[in-house]
Amino acid sequence: MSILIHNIFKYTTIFIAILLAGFFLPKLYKDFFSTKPNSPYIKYSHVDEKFYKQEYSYGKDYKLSYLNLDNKKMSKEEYAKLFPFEFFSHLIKIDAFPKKFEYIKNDPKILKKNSQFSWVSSKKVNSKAIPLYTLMEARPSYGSLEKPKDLYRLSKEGLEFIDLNTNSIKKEKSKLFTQALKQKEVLFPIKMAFSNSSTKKPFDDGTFLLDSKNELYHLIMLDKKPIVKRTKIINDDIKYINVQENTRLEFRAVMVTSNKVYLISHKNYKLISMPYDNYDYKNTEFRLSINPITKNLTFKTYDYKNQKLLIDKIITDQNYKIKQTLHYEQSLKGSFVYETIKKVLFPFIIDLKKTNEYFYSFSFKTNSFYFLILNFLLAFAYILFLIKKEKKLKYYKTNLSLIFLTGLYGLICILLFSKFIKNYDEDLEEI
Amino acid sequence: MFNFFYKEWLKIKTIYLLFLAVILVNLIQIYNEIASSIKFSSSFAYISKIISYKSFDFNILFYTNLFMAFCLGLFQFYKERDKGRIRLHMHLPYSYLTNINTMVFSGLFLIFITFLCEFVLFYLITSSYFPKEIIYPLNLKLFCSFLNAFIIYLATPAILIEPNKIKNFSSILITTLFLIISFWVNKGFYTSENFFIFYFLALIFQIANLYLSFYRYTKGYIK
Repeated sequence: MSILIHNIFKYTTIFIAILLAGFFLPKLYKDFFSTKPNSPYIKYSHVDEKFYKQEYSYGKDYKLSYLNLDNKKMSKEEYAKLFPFEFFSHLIKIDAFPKKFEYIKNDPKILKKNSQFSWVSSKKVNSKAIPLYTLMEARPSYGSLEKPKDLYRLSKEGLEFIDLNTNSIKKEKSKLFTQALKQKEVLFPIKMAFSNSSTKKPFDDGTFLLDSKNELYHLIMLDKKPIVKRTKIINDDIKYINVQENTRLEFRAVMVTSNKVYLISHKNYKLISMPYDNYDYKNTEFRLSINPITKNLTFKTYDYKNQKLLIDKIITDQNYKIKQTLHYEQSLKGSFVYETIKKVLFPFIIDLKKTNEYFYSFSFKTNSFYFLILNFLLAFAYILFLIKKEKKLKYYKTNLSLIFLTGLYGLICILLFSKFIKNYDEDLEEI
Repeated sequence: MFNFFYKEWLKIKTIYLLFLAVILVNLIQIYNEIASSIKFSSSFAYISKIISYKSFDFNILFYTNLFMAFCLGLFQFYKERDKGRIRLHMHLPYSYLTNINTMVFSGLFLIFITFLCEFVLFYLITSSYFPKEIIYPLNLKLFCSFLNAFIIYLATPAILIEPNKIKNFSSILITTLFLIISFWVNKGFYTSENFFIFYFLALIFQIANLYLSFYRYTKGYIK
């Protein structure tokens, strides 16, 4: 094997080992020395109209604490009294339900009829779903919803229903539904489809389809026949639609674009804009909690760039007019010592980022230039060591450059895959 | 060249045929599991479960591939290294690289043929029950298990032949780290979008390391 090929192989192994070190060493450092910050959950009390928080502390002392925003702790009993809708049964049982809401105590159905909860996590928005969809019979014969016998996929020229027993395409049904969509001027191929495949819901509200001209259509199956409705919603930025069947019949779905959250109204598909402009579909989690008094919107954003957790809580009346807001920030950074050591030790970090529920992607991050301090010291120590061993520095140019550029990573990889000190023969070989 | 291949075949034929049988049994078991699940529930229930939970378990096949690659490498190179016969092979009247390639590629060729057949059979089983949207990620996952197996196969002789203990440790360490990342990347239903870059680097590393191990081994012998 020629010396050139030998050197190519040698430095290839070192280069790849350096990349691996850039992945594993920061991870080991994080696993051993970092602590997970507490995760707060902020709530609005209708009793005294103030915000409170629940905080989970992780690790060996895992516990759930109840605090006000000045971090004053309270017992669970005190906390429960501030949230009568959440601890309804408990407060009735101990006869501590606030008199302010006596009418709800007298008629608990009000609470049930006027409560709804929606949750759109960034994981759900960005997750890669298997592109097979269900369409149920909206008015089933025996009242309860049944799982269909087929699934459909979006083909170039319409919908293709697949018979799961035979794994073949149901041509007639596909033609019938495609024809119905064509009559409503749907432009194929359909780009996205959104439905709720659960049968644990009061009724089925079909599926929303986004066509090639970015118009949203609503498809329902009634008595095995398609009903297509034009929503007149045109948007080229739709990222996700969470279909929600609820007996309140206020809205059909939560629609998410890259920077806004909307509700699609039940009556005439009007878009109800959520009063928040900093939504980021990649990192923000949206929660909507409706009760007889207010509508509580929560936007929880993990701002990884600035290492911050941002929580925006918006309390509105029943028409989404803002009553009260709260902006809460928490640093996701480790301690000053932890962060500084990290910057000095690691010239770059390769991370395996969980982009969504099931999907990983590699990311390459460079730290600030603090690492040059350590790299310089390591290279200098290496030079002193070589001088002490009476070695000629000109044979160690590559090793020295690797240590200077990649610091700790380079040093470890040279120790593992090259020679820290060469004997005379090898020195000659690499000239 | 055929004689080279025949020599390698004689070393591994028993273990190879054994693993061929194990892979076949695994494939039959996968077929049986799908067929019986559908028989006792329904195809819709079974496929909906896969779609909802995004999971289809064929880990046994995944690990069998890895174990087969390791055993083939071990049977092919351990005795040769232990009895010092590998020196003889390295002094055959061909170039240095040809001598290494004939040994390594014989094993790789057998593994490749096995995986090709396994892939076709797996595809036939899954495509008779599942729509293409489910088959594609499953096939990709099986393909990743093949790549992992190639990594292990290349690492085994590199570790066995390497005369330097530190470098031996380094090879084991780096191969383990590659496998750890690979398992993370393949954890879910879909494989990571960057997996080609990762496997490319892992295979390049193993090839370079293998040639370097042979180089150091020969060099030590001459000395």
